[in-house]
Amino acid sequence: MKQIHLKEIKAISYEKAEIKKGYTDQSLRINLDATDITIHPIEEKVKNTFIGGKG
Amino acid sequence: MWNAVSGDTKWNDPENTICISSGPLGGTPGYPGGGKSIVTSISPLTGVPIDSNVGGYFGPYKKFSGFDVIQVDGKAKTDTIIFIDGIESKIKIFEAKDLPTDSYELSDVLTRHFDEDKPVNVSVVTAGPGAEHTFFGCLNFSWWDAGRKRVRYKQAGRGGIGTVFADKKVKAIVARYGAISMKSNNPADLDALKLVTKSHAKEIKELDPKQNRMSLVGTTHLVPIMNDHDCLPVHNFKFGSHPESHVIGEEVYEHIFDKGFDGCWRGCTVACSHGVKDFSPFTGPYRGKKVFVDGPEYETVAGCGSSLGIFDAHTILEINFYCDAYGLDTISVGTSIAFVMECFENNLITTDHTDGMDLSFGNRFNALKIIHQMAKGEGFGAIVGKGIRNMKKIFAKDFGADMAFMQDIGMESKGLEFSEYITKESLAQQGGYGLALKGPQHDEAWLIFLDMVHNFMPTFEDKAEALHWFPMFRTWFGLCGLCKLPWNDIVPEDNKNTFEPAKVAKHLGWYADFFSAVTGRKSGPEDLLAMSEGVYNFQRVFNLKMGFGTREHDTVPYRAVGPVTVEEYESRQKRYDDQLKEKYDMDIREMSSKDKVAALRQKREEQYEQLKDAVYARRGWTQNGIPTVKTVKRLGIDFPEVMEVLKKNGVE
Amino acid sequence: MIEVDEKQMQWSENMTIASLLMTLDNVEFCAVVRLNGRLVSSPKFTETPIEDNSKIQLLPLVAGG
Repeated sequence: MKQIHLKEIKAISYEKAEIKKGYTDQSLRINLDATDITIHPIEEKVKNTFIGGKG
Repeated sequence: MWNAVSGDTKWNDPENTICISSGPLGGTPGYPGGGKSIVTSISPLTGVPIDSNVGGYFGPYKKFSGFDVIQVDGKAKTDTIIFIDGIESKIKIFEAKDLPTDSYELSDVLTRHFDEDKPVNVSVVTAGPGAEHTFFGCLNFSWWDAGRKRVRYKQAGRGGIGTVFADKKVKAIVARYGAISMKSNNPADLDALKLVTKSHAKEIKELDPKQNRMSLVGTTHLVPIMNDHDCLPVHNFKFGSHPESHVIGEEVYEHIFDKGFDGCWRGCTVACSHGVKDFSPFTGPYRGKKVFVDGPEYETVAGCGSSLGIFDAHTILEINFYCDAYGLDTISVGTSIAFVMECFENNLITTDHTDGMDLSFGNRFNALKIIHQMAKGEGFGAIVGKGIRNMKKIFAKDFGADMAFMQDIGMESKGLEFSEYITKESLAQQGGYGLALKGPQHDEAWLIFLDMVHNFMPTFEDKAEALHWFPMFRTWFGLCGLCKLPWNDIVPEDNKNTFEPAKVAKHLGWYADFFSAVTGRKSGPEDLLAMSEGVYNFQRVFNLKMGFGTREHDTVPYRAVGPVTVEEYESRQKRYDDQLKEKYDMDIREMSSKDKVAALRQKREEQYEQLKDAVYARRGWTQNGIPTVKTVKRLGIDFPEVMEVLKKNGVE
Repeated sequence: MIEVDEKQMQWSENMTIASLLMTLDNVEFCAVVRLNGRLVSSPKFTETPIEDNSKIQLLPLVAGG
């Protein structure tokens, strides 16, 4: 089995959103320039207009 | 993505964003086709958003880990792996070194690395070396096949999202999650969900064996069917059938496919994602080794088989295997190589340009050689990997090739290569391809049979109505995280007695129930359409924002509309002669084949423009193909930025 | 006798797929049949004979990719 070398450069713990009726209402954003991990809420309005959306 | 990019953002700018979302219904175990995701990004081929629908377990796993959508932007400095651990509730970013370069090995290695004991908990999204060197890199979405104890994958194929992925130096995104049940989505009405899931799953289990038998043959039944209806692309879409096509369809693949459960989502009774075990390629890095090939699907058989003049089941499997391992879209690869072959046969390019390769139709070894070159970014293959739109420019400028002829035979629209159906005899499907938002991909509308075989939409208005309804409804599946195959590839026994059999009313009812049961939003079938219409029009405005999205961009090459050459005309002479005489009232007795080609062309091109008029009107767009203010207001997408884009384009 | 969608039917000499379909109701959307395991499409219906003891399944509609 090939050995792989993974060097952890960032890690966060997060509170897992509870799923309600198929939605978590959260989006995960990874910005690779700054190696940033952020979690944003999804607005109700966006959800209603775009359902699941295409991003 | 709208918020992240500006109208000037190019596919390889850091602002370009890759989003993966799986919709509210995605992740329902046991619901046929219940586990899909949509991936979006600005496409390297088209410059506008591409959306790609894909199976595998990633979408549901990342949702249950807590996220409706994942957004990746910027660019990393070194190869990076993103890990979403929904079991430990941790997100990690890793720098990766010395990873296997191809997606086949990488998916396996990462699955085992992130959960050695229970690999079923892991799903991996990867691109391959093809993404680094071509514009049609795809993404592989994996799942662990518990029966066979190996990793399998499906592709988010179209548009080159893998290329964007690789450009950002992302090697993989990994999601890890544990047990899933019908409760995982926390549905509004669990009992209703169980009922509709059971009903639909049961019906498919009973009826599929009597209908397309997809659980045995996948989509390869379409090969003989398309061939016999003259719709199977042969030699770059010149012809629609070939006497050797029977060796590359279900008759052969049924016996080569490895038996076992092949659902790309848990408990799906369509289970059509078949593969071939212990396959030994005769070229490339896996030559002589035994591999598992995921596929082939119809598109790959047609695009990398009949369209190239390759009528050999083994070669098609090898092309399929390497495209997957290298992370290349088999449709764009096939349609691009077909273009190149026709250029070669017509002396537009010669062995001087092709590294000495004879690229006549049927030359399977050189077709494979091009694919290996694509993976390395070497030789003529590297040029082919730029796609047809770019190749036309290069061939004209650097090789002196005839641009007008290439425009006619190069099967691309909006920069994206066509998928694998002959549309010459279906005006509705010409529209289905040409008027699609992302480019000529059949997931928006597949109307060929309704139009050409059943004559279900004789007038322009009928076609426009279909080109409104079907794209809207088909969009809905992607938005909800579902696969559309269970909707209309297996139908109830009494479906033919219903009012509009093509819409499969019983299934529309089930999908509405499914939506209500999970989200609690009470919906009937009519409501489902309204949900998609807003998104659809928003995407059209997005195309406009990126500098496209108007009437001139909805054109298709004449090869998609009618016979370009005398050879094509004469291959179906009676059909075309009859049309000129009966439909267009022409006296053709004194006309040469060349004259007849020109006369037919004029009529057909006129028809396509008239179709555009009818479709734009039906969709609530201007005659330039732009959603009107009235339309965007009606759909609730009249955000200030949208209104600004419309205004900038003269729509107020 | 032949079997059509699991129902027994009378066979007659010179029967073709086209002639069989003419005796059935509501077959407008039938563009493909499975005749003794093999798919046959509508352009070939008139020229494809049905032998006695054949098994035929009418495929409902072709939905494509």
